[in-house]
Amino acid sequence: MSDVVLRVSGLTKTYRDGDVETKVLKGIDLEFRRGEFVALMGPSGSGKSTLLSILGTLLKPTHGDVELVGNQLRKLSEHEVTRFRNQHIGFVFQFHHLLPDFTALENVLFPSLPRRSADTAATRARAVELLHRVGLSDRIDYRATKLSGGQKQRVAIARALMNTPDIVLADEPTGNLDRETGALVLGLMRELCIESGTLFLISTHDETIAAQSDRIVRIVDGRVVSGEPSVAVATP
Amino acid sequence: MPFELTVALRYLRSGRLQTVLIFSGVAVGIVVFTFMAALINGLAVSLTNNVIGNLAHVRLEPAPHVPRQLGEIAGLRTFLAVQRGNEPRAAINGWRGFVQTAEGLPEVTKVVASVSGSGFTQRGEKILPISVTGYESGKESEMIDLASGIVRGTSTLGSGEILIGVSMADELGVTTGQRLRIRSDRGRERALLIRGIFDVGNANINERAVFTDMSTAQGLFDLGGAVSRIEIKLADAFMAIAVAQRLGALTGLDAIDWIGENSRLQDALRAQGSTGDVVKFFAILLILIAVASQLLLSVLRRRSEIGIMRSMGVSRASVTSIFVTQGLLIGLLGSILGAGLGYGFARFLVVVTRRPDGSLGLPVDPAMGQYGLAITIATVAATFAAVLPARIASGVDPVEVIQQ
Repeated sequence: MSDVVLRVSGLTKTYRDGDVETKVLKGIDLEFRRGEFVALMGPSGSGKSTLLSILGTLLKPTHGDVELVGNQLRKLSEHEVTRFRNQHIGFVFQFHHLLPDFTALENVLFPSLPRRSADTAATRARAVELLHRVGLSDRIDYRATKLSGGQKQRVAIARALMNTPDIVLADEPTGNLDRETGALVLGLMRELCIESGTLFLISTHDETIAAQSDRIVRIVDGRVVSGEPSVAVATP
Repeated sequence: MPFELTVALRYLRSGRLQTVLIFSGVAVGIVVFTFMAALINGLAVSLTNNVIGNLAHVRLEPAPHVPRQLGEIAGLRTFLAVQRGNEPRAAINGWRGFVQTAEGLPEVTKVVASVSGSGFTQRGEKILPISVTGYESGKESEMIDLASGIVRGTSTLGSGEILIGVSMADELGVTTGQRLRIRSDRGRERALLIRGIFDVGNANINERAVFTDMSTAQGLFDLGGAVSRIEIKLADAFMAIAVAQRLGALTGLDAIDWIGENSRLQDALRAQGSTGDVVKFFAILLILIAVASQLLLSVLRRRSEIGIMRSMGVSRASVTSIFVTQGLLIGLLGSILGAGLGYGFARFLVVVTRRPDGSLGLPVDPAMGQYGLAITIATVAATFAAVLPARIASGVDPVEVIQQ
């Protein structure tokens, strides 16, 4: 049972704007295992991004529990949540969101900085290794602004894996890339998922991603309508 | 290097033009601050020196006569009154002991006993009121630097010799080697030899003062071996009140400090200092506003980066620290630069405004620019100014940023 890295139960989220209430998530129950490559699909406004934000500890649910690597998130203080996010969760965003004033290497190192270990040789070596793994050995000292879209997204993937997280949350990671680069990035993520045993949870509209995932979780109107394993690719 | 410092330095380095501008703004503010301090303090020293250069910092004079009742008369209430002007002339007898007492205090640098009084001088039809001061021989220049002010003759006095000011000499049409008839307020009259003519830069002294040796003055004012006062100079003129209090207690004489006698000067110096403080306050206020607005713009510009940092597990406290550190660095480095420029500017003014005779055209004292104080205040102000932007930065919602 220790394979379950993320468990969500009875999750709801309601936004309030004055007297107006908008129920975005209406009771989500899900379990994810270590090393799974999961596509989170659904139409716009279905609640995918909200779910991802809650799983990423950036947003608090209105009701329900999120248990991540054995930790009940609602029991953690804000400071503990921040530290937990740094140590256990990696993010890949549609628009990469690299820090423009830093080099590729520094961007990858960034998640390790708050832990005061950025200067150690081992941390640096890991960041270099990750950049090598995503095919950017020759770009480590390039400023983020000097990289192409695909390169930026690959740096973002390396950054997400820097602290050896248990879960990587990706929000439309190929949405801003051309088809060829998108396929490259997706393939890379798939490989890293298998290598690292990290759970990859990818919010997407792209059926190609869905076809390559181990499992597709479909959300419609704030509810999970299916969470079956993908038929196209077998679980590793 | 702490993570917050790394990011703060990178942010300052990357926004090069903005950083140069804000550093320049802080530096200019500090130039204003230090220049005002150098000017106001220099002016205060210059004014004070002008006033007390020719004054004793502390004077010991005979205590005023107080009428005493010889005995109680039962059943009667007694009132005593003194008619001013009818008391015997006050003088200090045994003055050498008091001189030694004053010389024993560590703050005291010079002590000289003097005899002084008023009188008249007459030449032809002209009669001038004068003040006569007699010093011990060889100590004529201890209180007023007569030796440096001599324009004709010499400052060393023997018995029956006098020094007069250049204005008096012009007015009476006399020069060295001539005799001047002097009549004291005690009715004594003597013809004294003009040994030297001085110009000490003080109109009153140049017009009315006559200096002679002590024995001549004692003779003019019927003082025998007594003196009128003991004049004292201190290493720090502003210690005068405390030293006067001590000497008064030690000698039983009336100890008068120059500060109490020149309250208008003190008021003027205080008003001048307050004006300088107002200008300095606005200079610091401008630094505060400039740093706050600069960092606020930086926070707005870097909103998405801050959100991403937060999503990567950077705490609110760390985000706050990044911006507060920037404020601190801007304040510290900008003010050090400004202090250097301020010192250079003050030195430059000293050089360009110096008159041919070597005196200062503008009484700026570069050493009195309060550089340490300026750097400290500017650093604290800039750090404080960064708090509001830093708090806004720490409140950036990563979800909002990511969804944008």
